[in-house]
Amino acid sequence: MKTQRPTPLLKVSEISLSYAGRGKQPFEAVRQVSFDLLPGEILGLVGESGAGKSTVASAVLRLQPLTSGKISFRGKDIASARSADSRDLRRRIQAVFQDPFAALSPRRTVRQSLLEPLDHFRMGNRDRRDAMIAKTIESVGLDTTLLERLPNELSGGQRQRVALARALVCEPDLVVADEPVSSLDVPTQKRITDLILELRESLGIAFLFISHDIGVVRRLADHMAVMYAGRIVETGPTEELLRHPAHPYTQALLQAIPVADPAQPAPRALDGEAPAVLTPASGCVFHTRCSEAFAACREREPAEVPVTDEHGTTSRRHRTRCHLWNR
Amino acid sequence: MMAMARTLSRLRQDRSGLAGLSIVALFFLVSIAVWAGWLGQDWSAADGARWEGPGPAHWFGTNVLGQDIFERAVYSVRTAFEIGLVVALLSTVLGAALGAVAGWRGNTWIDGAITWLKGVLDAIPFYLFVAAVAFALRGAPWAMHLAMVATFWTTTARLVRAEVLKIRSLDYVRSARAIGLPGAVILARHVLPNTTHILLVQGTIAFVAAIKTEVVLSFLGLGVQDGVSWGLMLAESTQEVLAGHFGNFIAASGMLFLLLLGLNLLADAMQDALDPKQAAL
Amino acid sequence: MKNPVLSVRDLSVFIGDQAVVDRVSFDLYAGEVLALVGESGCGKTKTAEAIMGLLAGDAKNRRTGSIRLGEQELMSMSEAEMRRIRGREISMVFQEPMTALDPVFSNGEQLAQQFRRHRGQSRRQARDSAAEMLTHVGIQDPERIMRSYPHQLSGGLRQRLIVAMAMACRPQVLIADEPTTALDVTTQAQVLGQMTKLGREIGTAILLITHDLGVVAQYGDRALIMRRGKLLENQPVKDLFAKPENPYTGSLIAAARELST
Repeated sequence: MKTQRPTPLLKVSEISLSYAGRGKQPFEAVRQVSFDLLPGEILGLVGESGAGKSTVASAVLRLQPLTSGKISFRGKDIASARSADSRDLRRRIQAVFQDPFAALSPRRTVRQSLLEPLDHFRMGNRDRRDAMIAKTIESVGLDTTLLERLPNELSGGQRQRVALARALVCEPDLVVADEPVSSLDVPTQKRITDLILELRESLGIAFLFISHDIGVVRRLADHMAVMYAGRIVETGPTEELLRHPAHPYTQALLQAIPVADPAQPAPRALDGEAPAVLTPASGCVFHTRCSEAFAACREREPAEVPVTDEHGTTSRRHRTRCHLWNR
Repeated sequence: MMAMARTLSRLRQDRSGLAGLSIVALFFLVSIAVWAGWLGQDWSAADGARWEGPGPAHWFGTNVLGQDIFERAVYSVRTAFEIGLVVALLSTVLGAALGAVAGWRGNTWIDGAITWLKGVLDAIPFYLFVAAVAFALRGAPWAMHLAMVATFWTTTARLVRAEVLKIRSLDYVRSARAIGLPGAVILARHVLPNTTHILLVQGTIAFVAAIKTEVVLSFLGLGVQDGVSWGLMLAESTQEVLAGHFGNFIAASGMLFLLLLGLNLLADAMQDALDPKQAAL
Repeated sequence: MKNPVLSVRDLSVFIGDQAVVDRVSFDLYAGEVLALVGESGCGKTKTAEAIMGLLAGDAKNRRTGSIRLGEQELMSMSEAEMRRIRGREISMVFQEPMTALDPVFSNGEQLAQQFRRHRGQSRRQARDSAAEMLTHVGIQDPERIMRSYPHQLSGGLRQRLIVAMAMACRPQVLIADEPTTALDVTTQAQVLGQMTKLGREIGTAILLITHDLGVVAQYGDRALIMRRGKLLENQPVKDLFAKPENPYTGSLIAAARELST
């Protein structure tokens, strides 16, 4: 069943990525992952370490080749883009990564870091570049006096703002943000997420926002996708998905979060470990830890099906890969 | 620039490092003076009697040909610096380049090839290898330089490779790749500048090693072909010491000792001053 | 009221002239979980290091005040005496589990070592105690885990192994410094759940250092809030969330609610 959505900015179709792995067997980090991202939309990609979130980011940024599947950006396959097109594509899709201490080249000033992409993409002339840099650095809430500083003279939050500014100065359509606030203090996290919301509002930039922190994603994302062991197990509008998590893994993940309220029930631990890398489970990836698993779960991988909410209405956009919803 | 200033200020607080720096600077000035023609120009003039003792005319006496030993020892400072600088510079550049390529293309065939080459060179006993090259290219004045560069680069390459492997996976390098910068640009702009602490220290170590090796090779007759060096003077002195003439021995080994002492003190201090782990303080 | 296991009075830690911990006082009782909360740089880790006597050896760090473990004054102890206290009466669990384990010994050997060293058990006894301890921290197949080596374990299993090692000698106090910050939430629930349960069972008092108010609400009995070296609040967790005394605490709780729930 196809949804009637406007043309997506980014369309990820059935992508898989494998690593060579040590020894014989290649290790499949991402398997048949699909999602769409509309212009100006924020998609939160959620999951625990090793679920394959960062590999998806690398694929969209063309840092790693696909084993199969296809990624289209504005209707064009990004893998087949040639030189001029490719440069334009790299300008339109920008990245912000996790570690504020490694985000910036240590021996280059903030100005040099911001100039590099402008130079590479041949944007603006000399005077315009200065103006663009000044405007961008102010748009992320920093003062232009910081431009001559080196990264080690900045705080973690300031560095992440500069990293964001370097992405924005290219005037991108999409920013891939891989755990951009995970290493920051809670108050700083809040300020950066506010900033991202503001930038989306004023510039219409779409974000692929990767995080293990569901709280941050809830604040930011219009839509979210939950990954487990290389697969997307559930996807849907953020509020709806969090209110009615359909997949047992999503439910377990939500129940494990300690709520900042002693009156709330204690977090429930999820038993066992995620499947070891070289032994992909047959059937549903989650069946080894799922409390509701039945025969079918061990035998075949579930297809993606729409989720029905408590009123019996089937949501077009809330979908899951679970046999419980396909009986 | 800031980092540079901090390194210098930390170096200034280190007494023994400062002493090392003064000694090396003094020797360096002497070598410049020799090179410019102000000092040691009469090293080959036989203007005294053979084996004259120390005196006001010849501070360390004269050698078998009646040449002034002090003059020859001073001229040798230039020889030492020339060899040290050439070998340190070339071996560091070569080590940095091969190490960077190996690290950047880590765990590929090219990394394997460079690692293999390092293994082969490291497996051959050092003096045997240098002597063999010097012997094979006998007569060529640069044979000794070549032999040393060919072996000295391996340590630098190993350290640079490890550092590049580490830096390669850092977010700022991923960002540079994500905007599509060519690998060579990323290496030159974002990776290699962050290995300078290794290169400086390794360069100093290669400089010291080159000077020592020159002395050994010249002593064996495989080193300096035209000109004079501490090694040649020590080789000469073997005949003389038994006869009670210590001029060559004391002048050459004394100066060599002093320079090496200065260099070692300086290298230690530099290593401390450049250590990024102490940079926060 | 029973006597506290650990009693800290007017503890200050100076770096140079600056007090990074400023006249902090609190008591820790057997079997309770006391959460020490604050943003990075508020002095919570320095407080823990001062209690463990791990600031010594660095002339730049100076501490004043009193730290009593039962009848013993820790401030006046020599390094040799502190070494006997550490690991036997006060244990510690850190954020990064890998660095606390020795890669060349199997997990079983490392854990059994604790029982042999601190409880004087024989090789066989120590093995049995180790296996039993692992089941206490929720590890279902202790034999397999004991045969393997630290690098073969996931982060969560490693941290549970560390907790088992820290608890092996039934310490009076366990100081856990951001023990689950590097772990995933489902794993965090396993580690913290088992750790606090085990503490209650054997009567170990736990000082749980964290920046996560969710963790405080769900696992703490009482909480201390620190900011810029000063202790702002010392309350039972229920009261802390119901009626915070300090406006800073209120803002922390509000920020945490906004980002979590």
